[in-house]
Amino acid sequence: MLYHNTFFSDEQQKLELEFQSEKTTVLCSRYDEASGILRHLCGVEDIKDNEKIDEQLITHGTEMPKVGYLFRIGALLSNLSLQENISLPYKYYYPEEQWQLFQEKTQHWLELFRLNIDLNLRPALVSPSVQKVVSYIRTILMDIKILCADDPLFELSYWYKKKMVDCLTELKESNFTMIIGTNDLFVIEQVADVVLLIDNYEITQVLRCDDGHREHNLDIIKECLTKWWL
Amino acid sequence: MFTGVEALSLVTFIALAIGGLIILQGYNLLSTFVQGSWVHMILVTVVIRELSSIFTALIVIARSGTAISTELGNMVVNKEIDLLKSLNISPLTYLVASRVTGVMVAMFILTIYFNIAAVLGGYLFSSIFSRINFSSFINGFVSTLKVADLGVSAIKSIVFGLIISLISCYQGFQVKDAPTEVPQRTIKAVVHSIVYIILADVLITWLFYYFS
Repeated sequence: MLYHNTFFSDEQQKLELEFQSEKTTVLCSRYDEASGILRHLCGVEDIKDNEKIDEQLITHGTEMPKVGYLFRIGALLSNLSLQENISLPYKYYYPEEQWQLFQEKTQHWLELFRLNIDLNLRPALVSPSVQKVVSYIRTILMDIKILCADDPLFELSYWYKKKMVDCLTELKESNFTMIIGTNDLFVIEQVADVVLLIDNYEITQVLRCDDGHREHNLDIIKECLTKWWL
Repeated sequence: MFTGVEALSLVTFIALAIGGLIILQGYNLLSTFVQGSWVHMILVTVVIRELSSIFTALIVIARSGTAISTELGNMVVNKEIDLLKSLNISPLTYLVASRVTGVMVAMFILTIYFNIAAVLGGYLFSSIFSRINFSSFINGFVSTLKVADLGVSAIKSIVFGLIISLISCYQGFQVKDAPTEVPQRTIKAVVHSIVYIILADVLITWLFYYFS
């Protein structure tokens, strides 16, 4: 199944993107284009209805979103505790009967990240790494069909980077559809099935990393990234 | 709680002072014409119809209007509004509706409280000038007071609450990216709230006299 989206970076320019379901697509951009595209896909920025990711994924009324967006920074509501932040979408959309199940799931993810902190703390009292992990757990606990992650390793400490890549790899192996915006080669090597190289809202290359050309394509990406950085 | 209960001490202080000062000035002015009982009329016309809702609104602007605008502005800067959008939670429902309702209810209750405190302040000051007992003061006041006076005070308080909360929320959401925009928007929220409540006050008072 193919998800199709038409995205306008401005009134003049048009960008057509295709994402394969059950695959991990990495948007690797020169500047901040990947982040902008993800924000549009997830409805964070105001867009017209016909520009949304797919008719099947458009959320109607008060439904739980089907596209989960992991912000570059660990976006949490500062006036809520970490626990309240994790449970906010769940409490908003689901009845209380499922609360026990939700707590079990939360506990599982906390243990996976070895997050031994007091969840009654406010976000300002924990490190940016912990904030990001908490926001990741909140996103993944929603019943989403697609995970859009904007620079998933940004702000993470060494330990959490490792755990985050493990989690993303696990999701990839379970054929979860992911769209990741990053130019971190480590993430690309570990989780990418398809890489879209984007420069000034133009797709310069589409490279597959899940077939026999993987090594060759990774070399092209490295070359391109080096050229951009220089 | 913040807009209502925590503002009570300030409202009490200002209401007692305003009620007392109105009576003080009223006695000074009217005693020369041997018309001291008219202070009740002044208390109803000036305090109940006008000052109670205006002063309460100014207190709410100073405390809650600024707080709402600053809080929402900081939420925009910290991407918390974007977060709500990504969760398909409408910021209007989640953040604005609760604040608008809260400020309107708090304004209504605080204005009633202001009226009561101002009348008590008036009694305390009038007891300095004449040996008037409480029941006769209240009886005189109640006989002067009309339901329409209370009605116009209530309407003003609710309308002012709506104006303050909407303007504060709007200005908070107008912050784009920089934290330096937050105080600028807060100042705008205060100034615009004051201007619009004065305009609304003029309009409601004019309508009150027009229809009565």
